[in-house]
Amino acid sequence: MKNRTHKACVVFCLLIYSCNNNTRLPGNINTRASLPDSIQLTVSGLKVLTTFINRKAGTTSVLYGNPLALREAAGLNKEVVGGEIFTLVTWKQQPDTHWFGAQIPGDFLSAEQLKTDSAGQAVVLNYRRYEGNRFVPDSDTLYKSGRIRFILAQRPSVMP
Amino acid sequence: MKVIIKKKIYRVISFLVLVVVIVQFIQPRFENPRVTGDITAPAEVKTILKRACFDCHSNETKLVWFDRISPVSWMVAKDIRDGRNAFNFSAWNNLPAAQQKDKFWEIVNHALSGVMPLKEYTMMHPSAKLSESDLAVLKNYVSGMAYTETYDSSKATEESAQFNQWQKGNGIQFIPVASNGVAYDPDYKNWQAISTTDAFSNGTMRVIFGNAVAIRAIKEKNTRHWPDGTVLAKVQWDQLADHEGNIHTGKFNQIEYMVKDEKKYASTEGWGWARFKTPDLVPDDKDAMFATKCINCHRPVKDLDNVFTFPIEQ
Ligand code: HEC
Ligand code: HEC
Repeated sequence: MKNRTHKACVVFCLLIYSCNNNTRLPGNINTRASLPDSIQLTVSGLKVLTTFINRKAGTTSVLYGNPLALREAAGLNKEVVGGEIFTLVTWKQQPDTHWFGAQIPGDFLSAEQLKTDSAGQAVVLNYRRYEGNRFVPDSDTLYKSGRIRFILAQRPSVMP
Repeated sequence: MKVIIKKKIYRVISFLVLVVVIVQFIQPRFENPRVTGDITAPAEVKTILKRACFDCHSNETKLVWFDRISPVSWMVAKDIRDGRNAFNFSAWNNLPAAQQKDKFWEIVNHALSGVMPLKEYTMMHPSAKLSESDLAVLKNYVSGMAYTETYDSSKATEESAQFNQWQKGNGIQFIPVASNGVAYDPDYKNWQAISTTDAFSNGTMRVIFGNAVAIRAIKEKNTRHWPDGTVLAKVQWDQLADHEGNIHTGKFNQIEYMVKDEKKYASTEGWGWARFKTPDLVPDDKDAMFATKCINCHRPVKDLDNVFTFPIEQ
């Protein structure tokens, strides 16, 4: 009898140990930061142009661009030309649980896209914005033009 | 029959005892060299460090009787040697101030993750274990060392100069290679970003890139054991505050790579490590043990294939 209790105890301990081991090693993908599948916007094929942090809002962003957008941002184009694509992704920051002293992207907040199209002599600026997994039709043109100006004002990070 | 077995057991035991006695004559030398630059820290912090870390990371090692028994003493001697080599609180003040800060963040992170003090040691010296309140004291103290960014025109100038140089330059003339064979790979600029870091500890920011193999591993949730061919690159810039308090990338400091090849890099945890500094991409491999430094600091994530980053799927 005693022996059996003993064995049961050992098995139980092993079970607890293996469970513990699993919870200590969770899947380490940052799922809350990933771009929702539902939004019609992707960064694949684009390059990192720059990254910045808004201290007051506690957010962090990455601005991506296609090669034309990168040229534009580096000031190599005299003016905006057709065919530029910029995508700006913004996250709420969260503490890095692997390293005290750092913050990493937390919840995905928004994705904005600026696409330029040439229409004859003129260049049309198309701006779209998603907040969470929802498309935001911007009626506020002032806000919109502010965001476009902001995106076009970013300079590439030095990446030798 | 029984008597013979008993005799045999008796003989084996006495042989073992003899061996144990003999090895006691093979003793490592324990020395406490002079203290040249003792760490200055608030008393409550120092008490914790003295109790939990000083035996291996200072010249004030206090051995107890069982530390002196061979073969335990041999392991103790090795830990003390390697520990003092890693960093030494008795020579702490001889380090430049910036290095002291960086090292202390590393120290606190090793304590928080539980990789230090070494498990073998706390088993025998339970009083060295760190409590939650000890950890809180360390966190609080190191938080006071965090970098506070303000607009600094000289930093902005520095970044501008670097930017102009970079735009003018027609790239590097040859590909720099670190002494372990890991080469700078300019292709990282075409890879996907898998995360970013705001290191408020030292006022830097980073983007972490993954090559195609890495991105596939993330898609397949295969990141607990990154496949051969994975390359992770981490680019680091100074933080540059604007007038509104927003933080942009300032001066480029360095790029680091981790290249997975279980066979080729078996001696360095399956990864080839390399760091290239400044826009001239100078390999940071002067110290022959440079990869050990990388691995030691990545130790808190040893169970995650030595990778800190929580990759973002996008
Ligand atoms: C029993 C000896 C021992 C004790 C006690 C100990 N360490 Fe260590 N520590 C080592 C050894 C040995 C290394 C070298 C790496 C290795 O070989 O594991 C090391 C490495 C480190 C490193 C990596 C540094 C580098 O540059 O490589 C840090 C950080 C660290 N220890 C922090 C601590 C802290 C904090 C404490 C106290 C809370 C502590 N250690 C207590 C033995 C010890
Ligand atoms: C002071 C501690 C420390 C040292 C030393 C260190 N690293 Fe790291 N490393 C980190 C941390 C923390 C991260 C997590 C990302 C971040 O903070 O930006 C990281 C991330 C990385 C990454 C991105 C993948 C990952 O693990 O998240 C690479 C690549 C990398 N380090 C390479 C190196 C190389 C090469 C060396 C040595 C030349 C090195 N590191 C030395 C702390 C360190």
